[in-house]
Amino acid sequence: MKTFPFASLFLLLLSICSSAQSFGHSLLPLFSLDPSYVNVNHGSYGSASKYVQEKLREYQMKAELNPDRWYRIDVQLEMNKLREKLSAYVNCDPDDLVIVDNASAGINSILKSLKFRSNETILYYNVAYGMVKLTLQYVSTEIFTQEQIVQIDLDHQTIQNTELLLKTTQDAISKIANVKLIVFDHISSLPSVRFDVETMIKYFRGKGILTLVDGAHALGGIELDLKKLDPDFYVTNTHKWLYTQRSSCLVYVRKDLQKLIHPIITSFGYLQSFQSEFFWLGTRDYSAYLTISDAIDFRRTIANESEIFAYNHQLAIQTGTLLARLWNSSTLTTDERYISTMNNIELPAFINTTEKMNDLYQKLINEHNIFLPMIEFDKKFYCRISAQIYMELSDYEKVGHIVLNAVSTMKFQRKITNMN
Amino acid sequence: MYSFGHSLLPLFALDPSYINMNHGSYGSAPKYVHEKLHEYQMKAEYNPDRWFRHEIQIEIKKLREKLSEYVSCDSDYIVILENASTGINTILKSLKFHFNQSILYYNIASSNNSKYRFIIKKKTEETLNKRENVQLVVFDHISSIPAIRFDIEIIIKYFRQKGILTVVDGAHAIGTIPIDLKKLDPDFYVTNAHKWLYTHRSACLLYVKKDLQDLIHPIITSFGYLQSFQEDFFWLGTKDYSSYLTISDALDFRQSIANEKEIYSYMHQLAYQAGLLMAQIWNSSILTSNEKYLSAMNNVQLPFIINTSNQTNNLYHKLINDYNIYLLMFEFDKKFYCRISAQIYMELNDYEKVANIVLDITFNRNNTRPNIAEKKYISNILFLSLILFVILKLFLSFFFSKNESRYLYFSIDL
Repeated sequence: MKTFPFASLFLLLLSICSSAQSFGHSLLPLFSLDPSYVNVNHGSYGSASKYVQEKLREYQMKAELNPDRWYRIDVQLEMNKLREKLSAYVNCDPDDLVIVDNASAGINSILKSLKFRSNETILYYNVAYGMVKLTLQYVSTEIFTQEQIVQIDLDHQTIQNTELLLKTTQDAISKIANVKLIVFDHISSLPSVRFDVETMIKYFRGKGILTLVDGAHALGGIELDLKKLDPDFYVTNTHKWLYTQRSSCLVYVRKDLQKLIHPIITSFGYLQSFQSEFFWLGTRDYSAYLTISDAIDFRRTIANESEIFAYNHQLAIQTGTLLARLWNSSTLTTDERYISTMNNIELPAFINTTEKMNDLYQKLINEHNIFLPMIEFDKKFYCRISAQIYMELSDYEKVGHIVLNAVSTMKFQRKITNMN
Repeated sequence: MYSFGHSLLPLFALDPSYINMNHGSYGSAPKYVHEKLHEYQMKAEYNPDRWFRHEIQIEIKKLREKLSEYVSCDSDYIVILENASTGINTILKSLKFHFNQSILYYNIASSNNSKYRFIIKKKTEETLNKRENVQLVVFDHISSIPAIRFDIEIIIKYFRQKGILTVVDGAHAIGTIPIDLKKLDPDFYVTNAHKWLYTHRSACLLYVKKDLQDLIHPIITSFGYLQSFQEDFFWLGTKDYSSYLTISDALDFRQSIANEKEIYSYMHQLAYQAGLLMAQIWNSSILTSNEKYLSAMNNVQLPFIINTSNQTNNLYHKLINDYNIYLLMFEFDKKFYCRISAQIYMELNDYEKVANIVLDITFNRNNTRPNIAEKKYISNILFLSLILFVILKLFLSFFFSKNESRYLYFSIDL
C-alpha cells in the first residue's frame, strides 16, 4: 500500500490537540457540514466525520489499485473483521448479523422472506415508518392475497406508557386469530419516541409472536444490547447516529430463524449459509460498510459511549423544555425513558392545520435553510429536533426564534389576505 | 485527444505494476470520476437534507436524460439501480408467474462457433416445442464466461413473434459496444455502468418497455409504491447516490479521450489481436475467430498441457500469488480457456507478457521473475515514529498536566 497513513496521523493529531473532547460547536470542524447550516435534523440522514471520509477514500483506492484482489480476497476478510467488531459493540454473535444497504433493504429482506399463510396476520403500530407500512401493504397485496395486516393505533397516553401500550395491543390481538409477526420501532421516526422494547419483546415471545424491531435510529444513539433484548429480527442503520458514511445497516436474525431469511437479491450465496447468502449481492462499493469500524474508532477519540449517549439525550430533553417554553406549548412526553436523542415539541398554537404546517415547513427551508420535520399526531402538530455532539442549546434557541418569526409573518400574511 | 495504450494508465488509479487482464469483472474508474464522486459526497455532507430531499431528484433526472440519449431510448423508460444482480432480481421477482408457466435461459450449449446462430435457434425451437406456456426468456447480450457477443436484435425479434418476453442481461454491454435500445427493442434490458463505462462502482441501467412498467416493482418497497414507475424506483431508502451520478462524468471522460466508435474499435481490435497472439504463443486456439461474436473480451484456450480443473486451479493461484495476475479460467465444452479483457489503457505487449508468464509457469521456465510486492519501508518507519511520539506524549501528559487527562483510546490501521 503506497498511501501514507494520513487518516491515522489526523486521528493522532486530533487526540493530541485536545486532552478532553468537549461536546458542542468545537466538534463541528470534525464534520463536513456547511458551517452556516444549523442542522436540527441529524436523525434523517446522519453525518460522516471527516476521519470516516478519509477512511472511505482509502478503501476506494485499495479497490481501484487491484480490483480483483480487493473483491475476490480482501473484502471478505475485511467484512469478517467488521462483523466481529460490530457484534462486540451490539453484544451478539458475529454470525448472527449481516450488513445491508439501509433499513429499507433490511425490513424488505425480512418481510419478503417470511412465507405467510392466508390466515395469518401481521401487526404494526400507527407510528411505524412510512416505508414499513408500504412494504407491509406490498407484501399483503402483491405476494399473499389473503394475508392481513392490522394497524394498532397509539395516542398520547399509550405511546408513553408501556403498560397501557401492551394493554391496547392485547385488546387488538384478542380480536384477531393467528398473529404471526409484529413490527415495531425501538425509536420511532415521527413522532420520535423511545419504546421499552425489552419488555415488549418478552411479552410477544410469551404469545409466540415473532418480533421485527425497526431500530433504524438506535445504533449510536442509545445503548444497544441484542443479547439482553433478544429480538427475533432487528434492523438498525449505522449511518444515522454512528457517523459512518452513507449507507449501511445491521440486520440481526436469531439463529433458529436464519434459514427462513433470504436477501432481496439472490446471488452466488443462495442455498449456502446465512452469511454466504447475504455477503455477495452483486458488485458494489463495500467501502461505506467498512467505515462502520472507523466510525466506532472515531467515537472513542471523542468520548466513551455512555458520555456520547448522555450528551445527546440531555441536549434533546433540554431543547424540548426550552422550545416548549419559547413557543408556549409542550413536548409530546416529559418522561425521559421515552426520549432518545430526538424530541417532539408542539408547534406554536397558530399552526393548527396540515396546510399551515406544510407552509411553515417550506418557509423555513426556503427562507432560512432550516429543515425541521413536522408531523400531526393525535390531533396535535409537532416538530422533531435531533440532538448531536456538535450541537448546543443555543442552536435550538436560535431556531426557536426563527420559527416564532416565521409564524408571525404567516399570521400577518393571512390577516392581509383575509382583509383583501 | 489521447492515444490509446499505456499513456492512458496515469488517468486511472490502478497499481502501475498490475497488469489488468480482467477489467471485465469489476471495471475501473478514472481519477476524474473519483474527483467527481468526492464532489457529490461533499455536497451530501454539506447539507444532507437539501441534498436528499431536493437536489438528488434533479441530478438523477438530468442523468437519465443524458444516459437515455446515449442508449437511444425515452428517459422515462430507464431507472438506475445498484448492479445487474439487482436489475435481474427486480424483473424476475416482480413478474407473477403461474405454476404452469416456464422461463427459459441459456446454458451456452453450442460450441461450434460459426454455426452459433443456427444452432441456438434450432435448440431453442426444440425446447419450445417440448414446453408449453413459455412466458419469458433470459439471455445475454455479451455473456460472461465464455465471453460471447450475441446478435440479440434477431433473437429478440424471434421471441417477440412467439409472444415470449425477453430479459436481456447486457451486464457487459454498455461502454464496450453501441447500444440502441430503440432498435433492439427488448422487453427488459439490464447493463452495468461500472464494468465498461468507467463509472464508480456501482451503478446499473434497467430499461423496461413502457407497457410492461406497471408490472415491475423494485425489490425494496418504499415511498414511491403505487405511484409512477419512476417514483417507485427513485427512492429505495437512504443511500449514497454519488456513484450513480458519476455515470454522467464517465461519459464526459470518454468524450475527452476519443469518440465512442474509436473506443469500441480499439478495444475490439485489441481483444481480437490479443486472442490470436496468445493462441499463437500457446499453440492453442481462440473459442471463436468470428469477429461478430467478439466484444472487448476474448476466450483463449490454455496450453494443451493444462487439461484438468486441478491444473487450471494451480495455474490460477500461482499467477495470483507469484505474479499478481488475475486470469479468469473456465472449462467450456471439454476445453480449458482463459478470458482476457481489452481496455483503452492496455497494449498488445501486455498480453504477450502474460502469455509468456503462463508458459514459464506451465513448463517451469525461468524467463520472467515473480513480481513480489515491494516492502513499503517508508510507511513502516513513519508508523514507528508515530508510536514513539504517542508514547512520549502520554508520558508527558501523565506527569505534567494539571487537569485530569483522559486516557485516549485510538487505533492505527495500516
